[in-house]
Amino acid sequence: MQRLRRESGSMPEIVPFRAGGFAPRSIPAGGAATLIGLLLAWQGAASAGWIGSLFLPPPLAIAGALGDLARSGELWRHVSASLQRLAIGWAAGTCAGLMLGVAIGVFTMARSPGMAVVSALFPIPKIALVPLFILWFGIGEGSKIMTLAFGVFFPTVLTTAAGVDAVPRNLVRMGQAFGLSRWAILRHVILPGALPTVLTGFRVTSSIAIILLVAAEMIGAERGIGAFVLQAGNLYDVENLMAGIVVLSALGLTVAWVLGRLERALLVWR
Amino acid sequence: MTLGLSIEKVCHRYGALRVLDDVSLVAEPGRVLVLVGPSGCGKSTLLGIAAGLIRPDAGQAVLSGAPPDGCLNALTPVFQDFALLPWRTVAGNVDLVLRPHLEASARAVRVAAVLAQLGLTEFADAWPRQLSGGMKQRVGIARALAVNPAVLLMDEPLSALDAQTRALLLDDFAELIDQAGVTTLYVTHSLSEAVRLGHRIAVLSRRPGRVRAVFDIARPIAGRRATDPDLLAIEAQLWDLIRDDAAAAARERVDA
Repeated sequence: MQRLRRESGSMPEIVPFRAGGFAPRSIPAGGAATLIGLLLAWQGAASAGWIGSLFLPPPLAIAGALGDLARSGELWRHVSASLQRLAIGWAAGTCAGLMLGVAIGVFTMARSPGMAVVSALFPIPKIALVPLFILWFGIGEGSKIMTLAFGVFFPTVLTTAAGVDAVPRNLVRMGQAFGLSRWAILRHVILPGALPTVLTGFRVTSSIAIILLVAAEMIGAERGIGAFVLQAGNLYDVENLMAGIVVLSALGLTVAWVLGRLERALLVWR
Repeated sequence: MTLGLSIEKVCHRYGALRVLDDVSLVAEPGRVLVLVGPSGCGKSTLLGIAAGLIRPDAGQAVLSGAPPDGCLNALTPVFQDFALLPWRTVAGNVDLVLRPHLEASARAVRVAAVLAQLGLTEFADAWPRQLSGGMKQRVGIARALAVNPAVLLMDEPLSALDAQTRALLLDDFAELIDQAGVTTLYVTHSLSEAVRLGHRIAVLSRRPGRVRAVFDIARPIAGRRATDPDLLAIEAQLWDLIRDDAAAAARERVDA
């Protein structure tokens, strides 16, 4: 690293630029190229016999298995079952979490009791509750959806309450000083102000929901990606197992992409 | 007609910290009362009490007279940090404060009129983040004028702006306040702003704030210039009163 050192009487010196680095840029093509490179390396290693296909089948074999699943209609059967559970469970947990989160952020009466309950129940690993939910809600859809909803509920409460707390109080005072009703302040000041944090929370809860979806489907389901992966694993059908994992990865990426579009549409003012 | 505002024997403390002690002041209808004093003397607290946003420990703020015709919000604030909703456009910010009072079509007319008055028409659809500080405060003023206030409560409205913007906006303020004839309570650190805008200037002491002196300036606001000798003389007197308190306040711990 260059340092500026001047000694009296020395020669004139051009001031060096010292502010380089620490400013990483995104190169979209770089991300895609890295993934393609990894896939090619994987395929190459498998073709050369360096990786046993019983342990890790090559990408082309996994793609072939995916193609077979798609043609037979089995892929859609499992994906549609999972998507339905994901949508209902995530939406239910999110709606309930949003309501309690806003209440905690706005009402004194809800704050301490709500936070006490959330703090006590949030740390419980929700996967451990799946057997209990099966006992309560049956082996069918109810227990799976409740597992997802329960897992999504607590982080949603916390991020929503944090989002409401982060709304600058002077904006609320502005609303009050101009005579806006409590409902108008909630609708036009607090909820839009909390939205960026809430949407960030959606990214977290959607990932949690996918993890719990797979766990719940592995415990008691005939259809669904989690059940499919488990069945393939039990049969040592590694190609189909990997195909299921690829589907899960694609599902996660799709959800993240949808949320990104949602953020762009709703937070255009930022 | 418009309202007058009296501050009557107001005392206030934050925990153990006494910030206001027996403060009484009168803002005459249609006149500008400026509050000056060292940092932490309770100027903004007094403004909050006048706006009904802070409950005083003792004393009260009292409105007298009748509000002007078409007044939608008697006590209307202009904030130091603008307090614009970043998720609403310029027009949307003004529109919001009219919602409790007017139908959509009447609101649109009123919004267009005040934006034109403040030279903001071409920024109607802009987001606050796209505006300079001076333009943001213009929106804050437009929002305040839109409700046709009886009393304007201005909390250091120019202090977040650079010197050049401040000078330009001060000229506009002087004209707007003079034309509107609205009773105004104006808090500022700037003594030149005080003599430029105030019909009456109240000097508060260091914490706990008490009224140390009151200056009346009979001349109309219109036509005042920052370099007018009589205004400069009053400014010098104000500074003589405040200097020692300001120096002491600057040496205080903020959490004292």
